[in-house]
Amino acid sequence: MDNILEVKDLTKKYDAFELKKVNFTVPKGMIVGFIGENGAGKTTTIKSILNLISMDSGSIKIFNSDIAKNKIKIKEEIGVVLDDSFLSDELTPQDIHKIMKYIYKNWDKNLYFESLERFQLPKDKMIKTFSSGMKMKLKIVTALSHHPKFLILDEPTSGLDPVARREILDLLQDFIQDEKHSILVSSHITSDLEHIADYVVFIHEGEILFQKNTDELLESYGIVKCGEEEFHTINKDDYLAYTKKKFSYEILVENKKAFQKKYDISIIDKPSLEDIMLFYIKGGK
Amino acid sequence: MNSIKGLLVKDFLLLKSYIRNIIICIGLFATIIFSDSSSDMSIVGVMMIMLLFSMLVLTTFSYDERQHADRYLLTLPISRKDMVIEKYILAVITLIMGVVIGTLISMGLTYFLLGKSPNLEEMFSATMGCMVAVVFLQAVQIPCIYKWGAEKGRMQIYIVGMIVFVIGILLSTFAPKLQLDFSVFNNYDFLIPVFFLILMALFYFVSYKLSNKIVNKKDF
Repeated sequence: MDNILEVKDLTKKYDAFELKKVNFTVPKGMIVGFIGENGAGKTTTIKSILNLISMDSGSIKIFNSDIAKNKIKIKEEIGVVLDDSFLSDELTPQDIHKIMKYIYKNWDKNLYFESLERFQLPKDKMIKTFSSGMKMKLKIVTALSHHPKFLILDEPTSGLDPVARREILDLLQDFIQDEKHSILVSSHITSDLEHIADYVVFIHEGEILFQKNTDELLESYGIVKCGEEEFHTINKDDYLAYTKKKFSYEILVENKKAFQKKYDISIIDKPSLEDIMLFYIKGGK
Repeated sequence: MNSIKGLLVKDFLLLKSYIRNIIICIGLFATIIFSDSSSDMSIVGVMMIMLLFSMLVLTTFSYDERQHADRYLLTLPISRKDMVIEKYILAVITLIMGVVIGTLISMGLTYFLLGKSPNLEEMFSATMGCMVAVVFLQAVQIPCIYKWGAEKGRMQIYIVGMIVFVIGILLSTFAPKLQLDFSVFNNYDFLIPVFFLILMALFYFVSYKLSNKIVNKKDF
């Protein structure tokens, strides 16, 4: 399978934080959800991918081409949505068209204005009068109006109400209908990604803990609830993490079928991405 | 080149609302002239309008900073170099706008409202001097903003500006002691504007090199 993005051994060191040999890929035609708690390194990784910050070591390839060497050509082909930055909110959507038509060779005026209409975004009002949901929709519409092949979004649903979040997820699913298109989307709202992501990359304290197929992950992982006595009979190598409740233990297992075979435990719950993330972050081993 | 055009369009669109303030200032200036018809305010007028225009570059930085627009712009097909070049082109355009609009308004007001003919020679030398000052100000401002940001960098701009100003004063104090002979220039008055133009180009060039270096190393 072709990879649209390949991040290899990406390292970046700050005083209080470090990306430790980050490795992951975005396969062609797929949505990859990039999850992790706030401060785990999602935004730093995305900034490195976009060449906004220098990396200490490693390599990043988009469309099989080194981003550091071919950034302008690559950026013609990608659309980017950042949580905390956009054009000044003193501008209007109409102004954005006037700017972007010079910046992107493939800027599609008709597509842009049609999308504005579709999402009921007024073209003559300043962005500062928009709600958070409207602003995010405008960012995505802008990122899509030059026919990119790869979309990178950093926390597109954070701070939005459920209706706006759903609309944005639908927008992403529309984009991925074309099998040549791919998406990397970071979020700490894992339930959003559960619906749309084909793969999940989990980053914790600057380290990638896994990259897995979402369905396989949710099917194979399981949460076992047991008492203290039972818990102590379980081999440490057979679970990933545990949390101690008031009167019981909960453990996260990677392969619930194998676990069920080995131990005589019949009830194993299906975890959500959030459960898995919390076990890794808060759980003990 | 197209990306530079796009950035210039962005900055001029941002400055649309600022034009209202400039109109108010010009209105105030006209009122001052009306109230005191005995003095010649035309030179002050040109200088004021030029200074007003020189602030435009700083204003665009402030607008952009509020939304971290630099970071976003670098996700588009725009190189860091083009981003810096655009600000200097904007600086030159606003300088020329300030000179042309300032001169026209001042001359117009002096001539039509006061019925006096403006002193062109005096106005020219004052404008030249003011242009050098404005270019110097911009040349200090732009790298400082790239280094520290438009809001945080205000104090640094003043400090760097003051340091360079003090060096200038010291040079002008000690230069006469070197007893250099400039009398040869007396017959070549036309060289003075050329010298000023070269000086302004030099300010911009050094400043651009510095900004480029800062931006290339910067994490956005």
